Amino acid sequence: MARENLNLQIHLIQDELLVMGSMVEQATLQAVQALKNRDINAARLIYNNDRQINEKRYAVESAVLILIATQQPLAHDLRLLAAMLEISSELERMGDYAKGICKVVINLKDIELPIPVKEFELMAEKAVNMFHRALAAFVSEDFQTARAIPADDDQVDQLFIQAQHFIVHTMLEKPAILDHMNLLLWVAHNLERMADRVTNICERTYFIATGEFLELETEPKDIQGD
Amino acid sequence: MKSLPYAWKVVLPFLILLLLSLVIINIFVSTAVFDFATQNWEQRLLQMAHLYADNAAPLILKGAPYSDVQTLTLSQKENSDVRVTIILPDGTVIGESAAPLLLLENHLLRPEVQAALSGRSDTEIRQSVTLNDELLYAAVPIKDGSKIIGVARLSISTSLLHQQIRTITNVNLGIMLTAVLIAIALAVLLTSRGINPLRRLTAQVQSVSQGQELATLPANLENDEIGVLTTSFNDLITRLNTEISNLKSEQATLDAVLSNMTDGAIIISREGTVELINEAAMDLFDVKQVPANHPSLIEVIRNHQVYDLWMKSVDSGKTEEATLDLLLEKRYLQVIASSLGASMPGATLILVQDLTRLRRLESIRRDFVSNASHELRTPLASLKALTETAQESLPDDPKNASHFLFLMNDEIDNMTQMVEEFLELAKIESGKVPFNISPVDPLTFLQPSVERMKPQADRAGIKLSTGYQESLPHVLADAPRIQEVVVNLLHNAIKFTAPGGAIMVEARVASNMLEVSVSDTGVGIKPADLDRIFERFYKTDKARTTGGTGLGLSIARHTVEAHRGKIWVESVEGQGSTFTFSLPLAG
Repeated sequence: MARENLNLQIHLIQDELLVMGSMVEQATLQAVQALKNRDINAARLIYNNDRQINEKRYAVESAVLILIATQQPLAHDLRLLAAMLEISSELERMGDYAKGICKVVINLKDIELPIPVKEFELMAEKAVNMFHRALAAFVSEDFQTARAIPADDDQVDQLFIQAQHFIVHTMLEKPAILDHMNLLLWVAHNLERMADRVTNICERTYFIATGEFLELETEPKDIQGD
Repeated sequence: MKSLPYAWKVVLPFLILLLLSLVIINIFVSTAVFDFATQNWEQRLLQMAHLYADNAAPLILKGAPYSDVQTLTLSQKENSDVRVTIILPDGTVIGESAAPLLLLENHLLRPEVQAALSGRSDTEIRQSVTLNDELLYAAVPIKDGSKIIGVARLSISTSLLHQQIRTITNVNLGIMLTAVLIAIALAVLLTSRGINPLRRLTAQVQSVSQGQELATLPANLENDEIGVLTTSFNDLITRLNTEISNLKSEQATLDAVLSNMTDGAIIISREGTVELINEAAMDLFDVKQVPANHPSLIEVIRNHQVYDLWMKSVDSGKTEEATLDLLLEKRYLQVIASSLGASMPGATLILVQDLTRLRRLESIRRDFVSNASHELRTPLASLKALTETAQESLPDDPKNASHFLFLMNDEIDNMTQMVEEFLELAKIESGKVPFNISPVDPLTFLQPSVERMKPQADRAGIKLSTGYQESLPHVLADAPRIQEVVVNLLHNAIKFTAPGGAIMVEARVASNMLEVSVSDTGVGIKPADLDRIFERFYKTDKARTTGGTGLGLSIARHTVEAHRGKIWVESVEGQGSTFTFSLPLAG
């Protein structure tokens, strides 16, 4: 009875994580959309909505801690709950990346400048796609999928390099808007980091399912670390 | 614990009753027989004792030696089991058939002897000291007149009696055993006759319930209980089958409706698990597969807005609505969550409608209104400016004023043409324009178009040439309308080609269609614009410096499509474009 209750509770927390994940996905895509449309109002809205993601994170955290304290889960369940703590904080960070992009949109105001929209959109789509699958793999403890996902990070890295080149070239050509182009560099960076964080989720998934730690990081070739 | 078979449940009580009564009868009978046999022997022994007493009396009276008496006792050989003893009143044994005389003690104190000495004939059963055996004694006094001169005692071993009784008991037991065996056999026979049909029925019902389909049982025509039961079972099975097939067909209808409807439908149980999701819903949300074991809503539809809407509907108990803009899937959805009420308490139905197309049409309509207003505003603005200028200068400078009027006339012509094109497009789009389609020689619309546009091309310094044969197969077309299409294409080609460029009109047959193409060496079209170039008001030149309404290609597309043809464009930016349309061949 107590065990079933524990499973049910874990399931409910899992659902909360998925809800939170969906919020992060939407925030990321909407942030890039706001940048593309230069929609400052939309950016403000997404910026403010980040609060909800943070609240969810604390809700998940306290639910996990209460479960650990009251049910004394063992082995697999304990690993799972620990992973949930970790992943909820990863999601919160990813939400912050989206928030960061919105901040750039707000700071850019109406200033005319070339934006590598295509690259940003693709990066966001690919990162969100990886993230989406990574959360599904986490919930179903599909460690094989979890192991395969980080390989897709290469595409995001490739796009990051393209966007970076574009931005740096524009900076050289038009030093007048250098400060503003620098903000765009942050957008690229945020999107690239988001995809990196997916790798952490996949590693966690692998750990829960197998009890083994596996370094899944695919090291980007010519990108300086952060 | 396995319970006793039904037959035993019936037989066992009767068997116990039978055994009990047989045992009681047996005990009663053996007691009665024992008593009877004892009495019988007592009588016989007493009679014999009287006989011996009569024989012994003379011997005792004349004082004959003991040996004579002994001879008398031993003379009794006809019944060797009977022991004969002759005793004097003082207890001395003077004759004994079973043992040597000398060994015998005084028999005075034996109860039967005492009884006989007191004049009574008596019988007694007791342990014999002499023979160490249980014996039945019968003693009678030997009398001389009324004087008792001795006792004649006869005895017989009771073991003989017991043996006789055992024989009777054995016979009784035999009868009893036979009766029980017969009873069991009868019981088994009778109950199995009663139960076997029941067993058969059970087996049949079992096989029916294990089978894929509920088949009816073999008919039982006997009118007994089993027969009635079988008939009832068959009625039940028939009804069940009807119900099942009804349910199945209802289910199939429901499945067909759900899987073929374009709206997505999801049913969520009170516990928050997805009980049903149709294909449309899976498509709309890009769900590849539904996880097994009652997944929760968010596990299946990974969208927090749907989840929030569901929660809201559960909380309020009302129907809730929301529109979703799926950025990744590029879909615009309307989601309606409503409680299923009494039929499925606590459950929620979520309906999903795809509004993507509707929203696109809406935005096209919005664009049209804004574009049309914009197009009309430009000539109106210049008219306004011209009018104002004319008003100021008209009184002073009549000559200049006439120039303004001339310009105003031009603008009005422009607007008139534009409005006419609007109307034309509206008519073609709504299908109200009658097309007079008949087999025609393509030259009837190609030649005049080229001839009409030749002067314009010459003026622009562009070489306009034709590359089609003089004899082309006839096509099904409304020649004046198609001529307008060709003129429009040529007009565009001239507009976007720099002086020194070339335009080529060609025509060729390709799979039952005549393909007419107009190629230029102009500026070409950006790949991003290629898809939208046939839309109303679409202008590749955003600054709109080149004039035109932006309706020409849209009209051309509608005209060609009304002929069951197609129109398309291939272009390389900076190198030129080729517009091609096809028309069906006649015959």
